[in-house]
Amino acid sequence: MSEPRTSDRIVDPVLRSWLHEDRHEDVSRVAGVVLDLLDTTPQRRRPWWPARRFPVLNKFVYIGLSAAVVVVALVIGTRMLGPSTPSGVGGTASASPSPSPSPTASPTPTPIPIGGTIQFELDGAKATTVVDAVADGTSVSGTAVTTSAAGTHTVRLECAARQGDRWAFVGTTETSTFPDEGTGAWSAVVVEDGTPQKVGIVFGIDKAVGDDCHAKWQTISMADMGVSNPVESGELVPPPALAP
Amino acid sequence: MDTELVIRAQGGDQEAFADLVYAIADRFLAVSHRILSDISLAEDATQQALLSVWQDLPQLRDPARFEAWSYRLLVNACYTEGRKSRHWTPNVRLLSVDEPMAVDGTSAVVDRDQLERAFRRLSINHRTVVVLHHYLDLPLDRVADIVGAPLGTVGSRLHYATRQLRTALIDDAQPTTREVVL
Repeated sequence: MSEPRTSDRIVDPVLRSWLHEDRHEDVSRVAGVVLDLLDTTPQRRRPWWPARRFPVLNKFVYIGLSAAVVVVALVIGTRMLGPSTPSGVGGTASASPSPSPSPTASPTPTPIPIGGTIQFELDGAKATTVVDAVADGTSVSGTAVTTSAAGTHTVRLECAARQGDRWAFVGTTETSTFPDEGTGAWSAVVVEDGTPQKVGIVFGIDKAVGDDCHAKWQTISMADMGVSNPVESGELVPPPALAP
Repeated sequence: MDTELVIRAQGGDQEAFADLVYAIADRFLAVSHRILSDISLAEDATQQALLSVWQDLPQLRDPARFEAWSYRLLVNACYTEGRKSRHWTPNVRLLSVDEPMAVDGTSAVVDRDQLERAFRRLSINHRTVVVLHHYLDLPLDRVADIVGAPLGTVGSRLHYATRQLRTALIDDAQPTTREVVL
């Protein structure tokens, strides 16, 4: 089996000739509409802070604006979202009103709430990332929203991945007012284990139609990412399948 | 592309951007028309792409890369429009066509209708690669840069598209024995 040929002496000339046929397009109307809309269409400008992405990886990966990252109060999030009983250490008989009677034992494999809220410093300004998601194995659904002086960056999460002491919530940029960020690219919140955790936001990894989250992130090295910003408060908790 | 014009437009100069629009809009519409095979969708994609250029231009770090960058926005707009209206049939079964086509008869058999019909059956990913490579004459590495896919993927798409077209053309020429559209 030979490698793909990208030229064909029969099809190519016919195809090129056909593509270059004059199709009588008239762009004047479209151009006029666009120019009319300029006054009401603001340009997205870089923020006042030096919002360069980490030069870390190649063109595929940009690690967010100087620092990225943050902290998550995962514990809080987990408590708020989490299911009923914690670890249930039979506790002393507190006088507090007892919760509901007896939980019926129906161990259905429900997705596990993960995520949380972390705060960190991003180029001298406070930033917050809120991960609101559930996990089923390494599949994740939910959002990761990072907010700073630069804007708000919302990622629709699809999966989680771990490489050594680093792991990430990964998804597709849904909306972003951060500089240089469009929608539809891979984006991630990358966390390095430790106390405190360190975090980085990865922006703008090209996403091709049909890309699979798990497969894609097996090909990307998190070791090269500039995950250097200590979480100041909160903690992000990975899906149980990726726990350290 | 006039880099000076790009820089001025980055700074919010609407006159400079208008000049840019008139410099690129024709080509944008032509490319999107060929990718989408529908002039209405192509106009929508072109309009959206041009507005995206205006909005995101301040964030373009290297004005010298304006052309590739703007084509990427156009391709994204085409994908968006394409998703709104899928009227192509992507699945055409490949037959073995390694045997040479009858060269002498080809030009007589292949007419633009056959080609257009075959082209419409390609997926938008394949059409995009074909148009960027064969219409804009871009080398595959630049096509890969624009569509945001690895070079190998782009090569495979082009190869696949070429085979599809070749096969479909043969099918059209010999409908009694090769008609196996799924």
